[in-house]
Amino acid sequence: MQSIIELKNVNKWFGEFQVLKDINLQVSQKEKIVICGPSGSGKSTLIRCINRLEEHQKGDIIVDGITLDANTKNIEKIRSEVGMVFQQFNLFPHLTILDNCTLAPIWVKKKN
Amino acid sequence: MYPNDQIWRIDLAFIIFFFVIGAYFFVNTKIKKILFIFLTIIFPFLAIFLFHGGLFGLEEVETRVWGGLFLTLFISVFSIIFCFPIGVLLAMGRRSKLPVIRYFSIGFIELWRGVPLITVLFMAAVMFPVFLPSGTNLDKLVRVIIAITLFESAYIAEVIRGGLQAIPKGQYDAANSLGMGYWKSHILIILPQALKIVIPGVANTFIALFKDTPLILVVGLMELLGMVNMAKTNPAWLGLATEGYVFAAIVYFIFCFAMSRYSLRLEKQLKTSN
Repeated sequence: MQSIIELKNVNKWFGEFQVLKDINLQVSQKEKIVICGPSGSGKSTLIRCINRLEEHQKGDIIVDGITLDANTKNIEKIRSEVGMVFQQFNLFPHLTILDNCTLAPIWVKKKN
Repeated sequence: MYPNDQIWRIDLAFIIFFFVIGAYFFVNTKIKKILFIFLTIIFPFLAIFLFHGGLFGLEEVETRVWGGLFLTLFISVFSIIFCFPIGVLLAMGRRSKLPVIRYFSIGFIELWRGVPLITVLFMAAVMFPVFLPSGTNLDKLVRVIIAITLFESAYIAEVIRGGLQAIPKGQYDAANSLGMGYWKSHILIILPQALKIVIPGVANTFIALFKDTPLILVVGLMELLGMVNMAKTNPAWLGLATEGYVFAAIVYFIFCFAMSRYSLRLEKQLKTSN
């Protein structure tokens, strides 16, 4: 089965401190996985890297066949496909619940 | 002074202006939208046409002879309309990752904030035409409005930057994770929240702008206070200086108070948290 998310030897540092050490991960389509670990072990960082809210310094992250690099067009394409729920509530407080749900489909993917 | 037989044009423009604003508070949202578009897009041109004339058989009245309360409102309204978008762009520019844009914004803001308004007005009125190629003539009033607009946009930029900084990083992350680019995330997510926070500061700046307009006296334009100053030298009104100044003060107060009440109202309307 083809993997939808692929991480190859991903490394990430926050300054001197290495958060992600040679992460290799393959997630195939429709597979559900749980990433667990003590706090500060890099779970959120890993997920943020897949959405490129954080940059990784070494290795490759491939989402749906698209490699994450400095190319912003790729990033926006991936971000509009990858769903992400944050630890803290990140509702947009100036919008209604309905607007919160419909904002991205209407403005990012141009659906009606 | 503005020719007496043409004053009906100013009156007409302001009757339309206040009538539309008054109507704005009593109609439903659909008509409100139309009125808003009329006020922001059509009315400025209509007003300029009425004031200045020179077209369709209306006698031309040079800006040199414009004066009084009408000039106060004219300058403040146009400066406010123009300085706000420039301020927003400068605030975003100052937080930009691109060094050229960032340093340009910082330089612009610090330069205009570091100079007194009187100096800027003098420059606009006296120095600026020297640098223009001979033959080109930019109206003095236009130059003054541009000067005030740029001056105030620097202040507005800093106020808005404060609002942008108050938006939690999670909001940027959330917008980005939905696949929004820089402009989309700012227009849809960041700016609506940031502008809401800075309403008091922006209203403050606008009121200050309104009260700074008497400074145009130094370049020979007479707005409300300038008119009072001039009227008190008129022999027919000798000894009535106090009344004139008190009247001017009351007029300024009415407009400033109206602006401050409106900003409070806006804050309440846009309030979403409890």
